Amino acid sequence: MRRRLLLALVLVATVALFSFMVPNFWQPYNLYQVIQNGVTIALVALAESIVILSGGGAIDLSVGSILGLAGMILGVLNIEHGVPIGIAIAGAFAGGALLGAVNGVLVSVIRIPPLIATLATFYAYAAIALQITHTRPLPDATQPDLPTSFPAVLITIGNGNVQDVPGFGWVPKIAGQGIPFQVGFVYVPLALILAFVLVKTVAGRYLYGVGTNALAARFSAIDVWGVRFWAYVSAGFICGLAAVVQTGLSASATPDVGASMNLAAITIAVLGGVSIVGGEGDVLGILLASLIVIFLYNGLGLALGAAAGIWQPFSLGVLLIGSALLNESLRRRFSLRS
Amino acid sequence: MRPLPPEPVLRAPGVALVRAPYPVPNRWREIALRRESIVLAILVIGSVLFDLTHPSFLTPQNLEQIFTNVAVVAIISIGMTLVIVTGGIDVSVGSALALCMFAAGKVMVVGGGLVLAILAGLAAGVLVGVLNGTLVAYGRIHPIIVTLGTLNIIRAVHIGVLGKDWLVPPHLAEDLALGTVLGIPNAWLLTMIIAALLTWFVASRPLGRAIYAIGGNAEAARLAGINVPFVTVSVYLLMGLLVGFAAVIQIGQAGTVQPNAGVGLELQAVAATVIGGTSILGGRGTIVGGLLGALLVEAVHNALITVGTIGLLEGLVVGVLILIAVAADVLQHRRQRIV
Repeated sequence: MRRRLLLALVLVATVALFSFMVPNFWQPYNLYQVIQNGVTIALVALAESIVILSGGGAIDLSVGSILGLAGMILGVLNIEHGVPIGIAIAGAFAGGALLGAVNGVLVSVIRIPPLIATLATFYAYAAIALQITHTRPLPDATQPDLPTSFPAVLITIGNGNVQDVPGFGWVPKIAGQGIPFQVGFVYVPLALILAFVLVKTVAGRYLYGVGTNALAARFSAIDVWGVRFWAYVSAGFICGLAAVVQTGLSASATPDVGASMNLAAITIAVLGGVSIVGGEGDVLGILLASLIVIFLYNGLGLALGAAAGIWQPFSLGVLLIGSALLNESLRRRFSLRS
Repeated sequence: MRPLPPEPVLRAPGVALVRAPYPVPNRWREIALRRESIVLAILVIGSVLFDLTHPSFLTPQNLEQIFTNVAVVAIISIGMTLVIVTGGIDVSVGSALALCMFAAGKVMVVGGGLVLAILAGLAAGVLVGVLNGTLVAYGRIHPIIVTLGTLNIIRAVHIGVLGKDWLVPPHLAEDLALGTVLGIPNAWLLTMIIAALLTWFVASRPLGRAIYAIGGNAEAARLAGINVPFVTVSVYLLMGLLVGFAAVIQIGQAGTVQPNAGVGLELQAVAATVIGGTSILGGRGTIVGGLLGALLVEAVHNALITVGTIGLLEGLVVGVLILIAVAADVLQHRRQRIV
């Protein structure tokens, strides 16, 4: 509770600071865009958090690469092979889950330490994504016999509003801006489902149990490594989801789109109170941390212009180490464990 | 090699002969099955086989090329080995290398000599090492979190504060980096000297043994009177020193200092280390293994260039190499772990 209050205060402070310092920040259209663009990383942060929750040093450095490769699967299926968009989207989901399952097998079956396993797959998946089209994004303007854009359905997922969908026109607009499609139909439902699963279902309780004390979980007849495997698969699936959203948003499948997302995802998870040793953390904290990071990114972008590309990762690095230090000092002060 | 009795027989009071639960060790078999021997064998056999189809591979020129180019990664792998032996990891080496190259290159540009340039590189490395080490040891943050943070912080400070211009320093470090003595590249000789010194150090000095002790069991090491935070900071500091020195060699080889130097270096260094048999769980690993691992990574890189058109897939190849190496290690040392 304390942490969520703290995070809410930091969020308000961040937004207030940028509203005063940066002229164009507190504009309905800017805030709309921040939220619209931020959904991708917020989804990836949820994926990362599920993995970290499972404990035993579990971490997923490959989330960005899964996102990039799943996006390329979507692009190749739809643009190069003319597969209907619905099936291509399903292919991206399946591809993400499959890549997550590869991580899961490496960690849970072969028992390679997660840090090394996902560092290796981080580079491996990124290399495959780059190789598929030889670094070119899809749709590719240099290939005239292929479609020049994705179908409108996918563009709507990335750029449309909830109000655009038939039957949802009654949803009120906020300050003249609609609610981005991916917020209303992807992030919010997923976060609610995840919160429900984590708190109210056996699977979620197992995840916390395994993360808090794997030995105790084992003695309670929980399949520790099975739980971790499914944590990686879920993370991969959510990254596939994020890939579809991101591809729709930018209207193109870019192989290196997720290159630095692992930093942002891990920062959000740690800032949101997900303990790096597992078993602690909740969806609300992750949501608040996601908002802090995406507002910080946008605020720095507006304030610094071209130089922001340098200082945005810097701020994430400081935030990551700072929040890890904070977590550690809180743990030492309040925890009964040594 | 642990000295074991030739016929391991235990005699307990009231019990007849009890056979010890391990087989009689065979010294040669043990040496042959060490990771270093296996990597060496793969290197030699793989090189010979590859040379059959691409005869330009095992020429003196190409070998000199490989042993020259491997130096930077090899020196950093030595440090990475010791960091991983403590149970840590350092993914900030790429950014640190760029920063050290900037420091050393700047000194060269303004007219300082090679010695001053090396000192500047080492100083920058120490700065990074102490920062990483302090956060790990005294902040008690997991090393991946710390170094993932500093990876981005250092790069940003480098580009944002020091500027993104390329430096073209005078060719002071060229002899060091590209010269040869009796046909052996200087860079490789320096690597060997550093490796030999540090191998002696970790085998014989208390601080060196402490590195392995805290990697094996930090709590036991603490109870044995080892100052764990101090040793941890020392290891990251040593890592910084090695990166600083590697930076000077890199300047000599590249000729320029670019702010994006060293991107992805951590993958190669970690790959070299784990291929060389260092356990990612800590406590086990040798510097010689790290060197051989670096050679294998560099040989694969060189072979991929020889084959051509596969540059994009290098991340995949190195990643798979890592997975195979660690999987072999895990399966070889799998114990009765229930969680």
